[in-house]
Amino acid sequence: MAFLIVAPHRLNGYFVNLIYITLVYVGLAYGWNIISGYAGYFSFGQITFFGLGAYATGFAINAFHVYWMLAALAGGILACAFAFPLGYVMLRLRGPFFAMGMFGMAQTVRVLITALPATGAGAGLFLPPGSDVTSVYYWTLAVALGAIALTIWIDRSAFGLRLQALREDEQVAGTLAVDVTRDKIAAFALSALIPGLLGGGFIYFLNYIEPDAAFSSRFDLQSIVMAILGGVGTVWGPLIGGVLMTQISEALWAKFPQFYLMLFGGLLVALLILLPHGIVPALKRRYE
Amino acid sequence: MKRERFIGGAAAGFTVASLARPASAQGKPITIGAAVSLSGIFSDGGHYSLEGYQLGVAHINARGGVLGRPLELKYYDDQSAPATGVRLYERLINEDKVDLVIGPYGTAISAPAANVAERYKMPMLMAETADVVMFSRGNRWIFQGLGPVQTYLYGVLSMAHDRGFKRLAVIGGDTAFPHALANAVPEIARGFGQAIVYQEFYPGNASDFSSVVEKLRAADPDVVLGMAFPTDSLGLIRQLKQSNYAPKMFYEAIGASDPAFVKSVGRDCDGTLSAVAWNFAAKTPENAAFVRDYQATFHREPDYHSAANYSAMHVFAAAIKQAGSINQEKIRDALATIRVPTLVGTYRVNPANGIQLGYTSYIIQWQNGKQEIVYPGNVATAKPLVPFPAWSSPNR
Repeated sequence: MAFLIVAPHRLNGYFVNLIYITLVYVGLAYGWNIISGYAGYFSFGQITFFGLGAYATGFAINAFHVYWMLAALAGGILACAFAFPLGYVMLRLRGPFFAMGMFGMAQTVRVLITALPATGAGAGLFLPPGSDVTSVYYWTLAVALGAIALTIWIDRSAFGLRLQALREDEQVAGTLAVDVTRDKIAAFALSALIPGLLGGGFIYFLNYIEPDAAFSSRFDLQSIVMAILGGVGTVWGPLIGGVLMTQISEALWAKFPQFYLMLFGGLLVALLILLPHGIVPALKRRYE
Repeated sequence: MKRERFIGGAAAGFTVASLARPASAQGKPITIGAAVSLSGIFSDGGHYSLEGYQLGVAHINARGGVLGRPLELKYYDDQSAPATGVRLYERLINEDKVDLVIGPYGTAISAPAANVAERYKMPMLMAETADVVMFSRGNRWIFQGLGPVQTYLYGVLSMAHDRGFKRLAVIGGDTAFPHALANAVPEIARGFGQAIVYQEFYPGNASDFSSVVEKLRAADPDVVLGMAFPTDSLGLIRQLKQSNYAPKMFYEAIGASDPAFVKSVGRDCDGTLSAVAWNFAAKTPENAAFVRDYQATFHREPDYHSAANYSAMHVFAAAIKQAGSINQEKIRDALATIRVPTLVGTYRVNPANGIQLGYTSYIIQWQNGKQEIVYPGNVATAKPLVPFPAWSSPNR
């Protein structure tokens, strides 16, 4: 922990950058884990909120010249607020219908946002020159730690138990006096807040954003795979999966620029065959 | 397809390594770090870029290197992703301690990478950035190594003007570079008294162009300017044929410039215009040596990315020579002021913003399954085939 706090002052730019991107992935995996791991609504579209947060932040910085963290905070809150009406509609779908619905939603939101003149459409959006990497690092560290703390709380709270009840059987949970609609929308909004806040940091980090980067399906898929590899619906799964995957990917990528995708894919398949429920559940079974 | 290329790439790496063993250059190599798009949407151009760098380094080393030291290229795959590109330059600078950095492919990655160059005060030669927006942001460390976007379009609009064509349609994928090209059209068109009668940006990964083509037909332009990457270039041509629609002139900016384009569409590409930043037909010894060694090493035709990146290495070498040592500030000043004759023109930038002034582009047309230069007239290898032949025409 102390290491993560002093890192920007002790390590070179590359390692700060590597920890930064690891934290982004870990945060995204935690965000996904709330709605998809705990509540059982498998989403393929959490990047919607990341992109929304990024563009809202960029717009606020360019239009109102506010300090970037305030803009990113507003971006996160906007993404979270948007999740309420969206969740009210989308969470009526279940299983693969919800997963595909969210995938479509990400594309729809992307098209709508980039149709606004203020976003520069496909040409992208530049921020005023100069970005301070250290502040983005701390912002992202805070969001990732917040996401972990939130998950610990959910895991121990009555709210978390209700989410798990509706994951196992939504109808039974409904008959047991659980207000399933309210709970799942709350879970959806929390899982939107985290990518929203991270997206705000991301645009400031790059100083420029375009739709492919803001609504990157790579971010979505990789963070889902990280959560699955670590253990879906567990407190530490997204952290372990996220850190492990980014480090392995980075090591292969640097050593084998021509081969790394194949090696990485093979390794991932092997891990998932060996540990179908993820690392954390496998460890639990072994030591209990 | 992917696998084939991949093996080809690995084999090519060996040949270049053997070519790169310096004849006379001794001593510690000067390392040049690059982000290259080997996977993802830019990987077609990215492979050409990498090969251009590799051959450039090999040729420079074969002639004794720079300041008596060989050049060495250090590269990683940026996955066509901006955040990866940024991290990669941080790694090249901090971990690999490269002596110099050279820019990545495309606006989306170059724009954030330019910040890294500025932060570390290292000059970055942007050999793959025709977009000009990032050069107007006060960053004194970046230099354009391709003709700016206007050069991709001027020739084709001039050809249209000569034939009295006044109605333009602009279509393209909704991504950064197509927008940059489209943004350059109105000013040039105004000069020629032309008007844009239709404009549309379809999603960057679109695969169905039937509605785009019907809308084009309804708008009835003389010239269709497609700002299209390889995949949509292919889709557009197929759809034109299927819908039996032929404008008087049809141009596709990026996809149709690839010499291997004919392998994907066959002779349906005939009549299509495009822009290349390199006069591949130039009868100079440098050009001949470049094409010959490129084919021998990589077993395919070079494209203009290969030539521009090959030239970028020579520009870098000239700048290092002028600076006399690896001093970032001095090399920066050299890049801002030197003139270097290269394969793709004489390198010369505006010292105030780094925008390229010396390079230009050539308009090519696919004729009988081959690329012919049709503009400017003094270097043309064939007469332009205008109008674009109808799909039922016996000329196809």
